[in-house]
Amino acid sequence: MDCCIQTRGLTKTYGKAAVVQSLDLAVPRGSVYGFLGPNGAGKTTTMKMLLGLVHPSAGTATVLGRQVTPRSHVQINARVGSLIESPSCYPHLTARENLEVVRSLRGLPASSIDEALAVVRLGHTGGKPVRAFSLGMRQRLGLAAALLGDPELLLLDEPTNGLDPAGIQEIRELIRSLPTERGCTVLVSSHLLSEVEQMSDYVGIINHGRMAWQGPLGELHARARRWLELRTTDNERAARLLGASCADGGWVRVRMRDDESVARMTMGLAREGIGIVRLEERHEDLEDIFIALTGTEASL
Amino acid sequence: MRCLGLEFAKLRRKHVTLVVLAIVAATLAWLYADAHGEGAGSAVGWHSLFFAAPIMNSVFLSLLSSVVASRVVDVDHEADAWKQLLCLQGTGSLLLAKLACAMLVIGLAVALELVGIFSIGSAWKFFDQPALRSWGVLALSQVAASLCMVSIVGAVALVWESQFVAITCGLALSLAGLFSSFLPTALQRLVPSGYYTLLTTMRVDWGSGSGVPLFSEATLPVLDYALASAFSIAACLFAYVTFSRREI
Repeated sequence: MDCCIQTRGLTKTYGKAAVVQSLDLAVPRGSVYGFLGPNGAGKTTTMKMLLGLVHPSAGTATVLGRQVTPRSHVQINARVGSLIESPSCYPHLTARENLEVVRSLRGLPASSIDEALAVVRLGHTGGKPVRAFSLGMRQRLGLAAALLGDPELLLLDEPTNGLDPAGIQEIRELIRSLPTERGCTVLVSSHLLSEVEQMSDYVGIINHGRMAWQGPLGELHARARRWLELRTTDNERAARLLGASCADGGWVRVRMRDDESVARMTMGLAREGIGIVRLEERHEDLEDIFIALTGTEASL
Repeated sequence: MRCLGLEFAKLRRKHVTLVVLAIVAATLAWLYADAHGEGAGSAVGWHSLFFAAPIMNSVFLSLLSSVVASRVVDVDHEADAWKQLLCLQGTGSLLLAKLACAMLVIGLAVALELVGIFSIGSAWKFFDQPALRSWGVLALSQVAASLCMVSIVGAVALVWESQFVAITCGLALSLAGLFSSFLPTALQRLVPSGYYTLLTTMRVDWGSGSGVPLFSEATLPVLDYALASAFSIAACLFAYVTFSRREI
């Protein structure tokens, strides 16, 4: 697999506290990789290590084919856009002047600012200083700075923080479209399961600094346990006949089976004089899997 | 140069020029009063100005150095911009650009002050205008002393995000500069703002008994320049090492 980001045993400790432990992260090129984990799981620290802002205690990180070191990180980051925690904004400068700082450091043409402002819909702010911006507008400005110059890789740490619902949807769609429209790989962290599910092709679940699971989103869905639940005219007898258990809410829970077995089961119950009122297929949702993997309830 | 330009761009609307003008004006007002005391056509008027300017600067220019150093650093603290900047530029080039930016502002202040001194001396028709070399030595001494102040206060401003610490340190050094003139030279050398007077070549002898100060021009105090440079280098190294080890 061609990866934009690959870490091997990446570890960060502060004193005796291990914030990130032996993390093996693999972000495929051209994907939106959702980095999911509860608050304090180590997502931001990992992203900072990928940018060279935090030095790993052990392990290595390779970004865009180069190992991140104190000497190499500036050159690597010339091809990487990032928004970590809160956006960096000079409050006394306008949106354009703020982007001018990043543009100049990246050595991009002046036209790139207009393009980035248009993408995040901040082109109308004119001479308004950033101190007069709402939290959402600042977040958009941070995104514009990250998108400036079409970087090959974007690291976005909870990018929808502070945005209104319409803004959240807009940014999610933008992130979703980046690989196809700009050929950009995106690593986006979130503690919102639903958000990651909407944006990502790949998911990495981190908990207590360790990678609990990573892979394609489809595989995560495939991990979900499935079963059948039925409601009958006599649940107790039906459960006894099927060797099943009675679930909450007046349902009989039976293990998942193929269509032929289900047909035999329903006819068998009918022969015993038990009417089937409802028959439904159930499966674990991502939240259940997340809780099983992390032992923590995801924010929804 | 690009990084230096960015530092100036970040200071836009921070009223740094206004602060420079206010502090230079305050210094020149004091020097004008001094010139007034000498009277028109004074034979020692220029000497008196050259002697008084560094004393004033040990208070005013050291204060300006502190304010500028603090502001140049605080602009990035305020914007929470370190994580963005240090992704795209090395710590060394970033800190060097900040130092250069602060020193160019101080250079402007010193240049304005020298123009002011020249104007005051010329207006009072003081006798025997100093040679260009003397002007150069005065400028160099004030810039070198300011470099020392900017490095120290800048290092403090980098380490402590609250600029209260940096400004308090600057104010304390500014006051120390004023009183350091009354200390023996060996002790004065321990006060960074004392170098405003230590590095100059104009000396005065008050003990002639005539009540008239006798001015004389000493040789360039190489040892003091070396000490001021050592202070500056030590502060810059401290800032660099501390900051580059820090994790953002």
